[in-house]
Amino acid sequence: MNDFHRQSISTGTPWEPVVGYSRAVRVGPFIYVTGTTATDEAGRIVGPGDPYAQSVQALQFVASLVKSGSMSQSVVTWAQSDVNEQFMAGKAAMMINGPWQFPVLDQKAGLKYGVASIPVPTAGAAAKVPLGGEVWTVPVTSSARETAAAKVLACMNSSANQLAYAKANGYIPSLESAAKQIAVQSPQLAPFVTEVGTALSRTAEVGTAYPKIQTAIETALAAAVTGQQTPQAAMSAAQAAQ
Amino acid sequence: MPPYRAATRHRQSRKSLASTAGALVILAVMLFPVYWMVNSSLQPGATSFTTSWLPVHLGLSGYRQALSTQGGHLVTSIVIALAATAIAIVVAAPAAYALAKFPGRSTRPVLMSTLITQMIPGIVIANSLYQTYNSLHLLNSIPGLVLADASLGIPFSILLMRSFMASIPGEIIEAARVDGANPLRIFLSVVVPVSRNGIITAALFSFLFAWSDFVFALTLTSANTVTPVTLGIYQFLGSDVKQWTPVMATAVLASIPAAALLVLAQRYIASGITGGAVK
Amino acid sequence: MTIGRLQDAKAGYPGRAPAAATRGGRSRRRLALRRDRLTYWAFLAPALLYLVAFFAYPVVRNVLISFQNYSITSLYTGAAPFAGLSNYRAIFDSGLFGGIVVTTAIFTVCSMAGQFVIGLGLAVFFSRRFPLNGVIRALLLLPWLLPMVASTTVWRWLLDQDSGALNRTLGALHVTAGTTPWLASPHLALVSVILVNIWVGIPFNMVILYGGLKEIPEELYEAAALDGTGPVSRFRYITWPLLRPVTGVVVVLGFVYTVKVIDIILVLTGGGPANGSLTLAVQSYKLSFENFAFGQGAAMSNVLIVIALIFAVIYLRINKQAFQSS
Repeated sequence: MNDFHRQSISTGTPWEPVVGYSRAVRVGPFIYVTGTTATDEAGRIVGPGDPYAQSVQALQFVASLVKSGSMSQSVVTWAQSDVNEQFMAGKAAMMINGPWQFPVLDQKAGLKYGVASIPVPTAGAAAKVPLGGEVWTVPVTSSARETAAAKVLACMNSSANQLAYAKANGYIPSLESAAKQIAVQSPQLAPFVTEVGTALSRTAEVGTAYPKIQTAIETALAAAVTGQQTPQAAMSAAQAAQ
Repeated sequence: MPPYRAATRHRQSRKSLASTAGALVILAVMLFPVYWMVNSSLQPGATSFTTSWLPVHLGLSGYRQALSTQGGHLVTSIVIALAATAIAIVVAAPAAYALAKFPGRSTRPVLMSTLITQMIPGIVIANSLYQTYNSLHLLNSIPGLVLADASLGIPFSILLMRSFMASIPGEIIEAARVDGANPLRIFLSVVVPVSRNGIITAALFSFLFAWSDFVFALTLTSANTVTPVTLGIYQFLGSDVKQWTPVMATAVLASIPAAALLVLAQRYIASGITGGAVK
Repeated sequence: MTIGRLQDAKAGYPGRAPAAATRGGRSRRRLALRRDRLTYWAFLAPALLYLVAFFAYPVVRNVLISFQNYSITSLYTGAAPFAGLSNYRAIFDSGLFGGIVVTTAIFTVCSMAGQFVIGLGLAVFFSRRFPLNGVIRALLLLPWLLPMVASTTVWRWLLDQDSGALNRTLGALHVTAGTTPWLASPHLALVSVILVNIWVGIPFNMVILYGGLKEIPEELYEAAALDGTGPVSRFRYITWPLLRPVTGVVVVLGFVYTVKVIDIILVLTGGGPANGSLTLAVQSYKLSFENFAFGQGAAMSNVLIVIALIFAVIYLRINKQAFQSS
């Protein structure tokens, strides 16, 4: 793969040569595409400060990937594990996925892969990735039960146990000290540890309304990618569903 | 043998062989997905796009995994399904007979209620059963699952057997009644043999409903003590890692005993027993 | 049994006896009627008990939940404030409801048509005698024996746009370009789930209709053959009318089971893409277990039950024979 001809496809925006990032990089038969920012063909940022317009632009970009044939339409049916399988089989050159896939990836014989941080639009900015993971709660039952549950929780949240749990499942510990330790112990987790530091919780602002929002976005994405609706119409439908 | 008879017989046997050929084609088309399942169960690490048409690189690791972990689950499934079927038929057959041959004002409402039970999503029932089972200590028990799975077959069996029993000629029952038989004896010695087709068909499907039940198996068990194979198969399907080869191997292994039972049962669906009874 | 004894039997049977005006006759009739009623309830009792125990409470609870604001916090606190009709209003006003009903209707009608016609055809085909008939018939039930997750996943693989066996075959035979998005297009996703549902439902229809066909006396066919009636007329005038009771049950139950289907759709398409294959049953599941809006999920499943009930009643009114007793 290293002796393939490398071709960068840029859109001429000012910060591409600065960051060292292109719209797409073609290496041999592979095309590497990074995340989307809300820029149009001329490189101008669309809808500065307007998340709605930027979302439409992002949808537009994803839909255009399918239209141009860079991405198969069947991506709308893929879950995380499907994406991982495609990557392992060499059918996807790059994937955005989580550290819990490492045990699976390491099991595949002969698979060589690397990890990179998600690019950012301005140099030095922090990557804003969505934060997922496991949340442990103590439900309202009886005082005795709640005390016992809290004890279990405290035990699981000790540094040693967090480290062990994270290592076994491919997660990043929520205790910063444990997270720093794991970054040192497993270098390939280091980019993830950095990103978790600035990651955004999906439910911080919307709370229990999140599932409804997620369904709306999912539907909009599928509608735009399959060409059933224009990205504009898809996003306004998603907005109306709230 | 007159030459005409020999020719007819030859023509008939050719016709039946043609029918067999046709039946095999139908089987091949209908069961192609099953072939694919067997095919992928023999290819370790099978995924959607790495499975080839023929298992060229045969690997039995899927079956090894399946056998070592699912053997006990298979036995559990068979025991539960057989017991549930027995209960379902014993409870439903008299009810079907009553609804078929003893018309009254309550027949229609009872039948409608039975039909309505079939419209209720299984999850709704399982969720409500959980609390009841919890208080009765029926969770994680084979009798508990047997009772729940029987409830899958009873309404269906009532409706199905009733439609078969409705066409039993009244004269047969009359004859037994005149002979002095009590209602139970009439039921056991006259009605049951005559409605054999209906009963066997109902038993078949009650078995299948119980065998393939997943919702009750999931909801009414919390520990790993009682695990039917429909639930056990999920240990290969984590949220991130899905090992399809052992899943397919388990599916193949699971269908062998059940298929054997089916073939046996089909033998008993004979033709037109009622046809000759009133002569 | 001789004709004479048959006449004796008729004389003693309640409800059919010629008016025997003696007091002895009337009280004997009343006794027999009472005994019949007792038998009826005795035979029915275990089944009724079972139905009430397993189905009555869930139905009632489901109706109650649909009027409550039952969210995920309710699972912890146990508190579910009364919400009146807001759950029902939410699902009707969601803008999705009309589409979901249409999708459900298309899914149900097409599935049932396909399953019934093919099932009946196969049942008629297999009613003939030929070698391996029984074994092949039994093997056709295999789809029902396999765990649903396994068989539906295999279908997912077969229907995959890029590498599925179906597209590869169609492309190799040059029937299509081999790139049909069976599961990745909203419209085709509905077609795909219908096809898989038909595949699953054929054995059910075939086996039951076969059992019904075997009830029809051979002599009727022999007599018709002697009269020179062709196979089509034989089917129209002998097979179809005598099959009506069984047909009625198969259609009603087939309808009820089809309208309830969720696992096939959930594994194949998840109700998508873009709600292309979203039916009432699937949406009810998603509302409860993906959005954790249990009140709305319960409301939707109640709507489902009511719609199923309405159609069942209409069908049974038209086809009185299905629920007739003799």
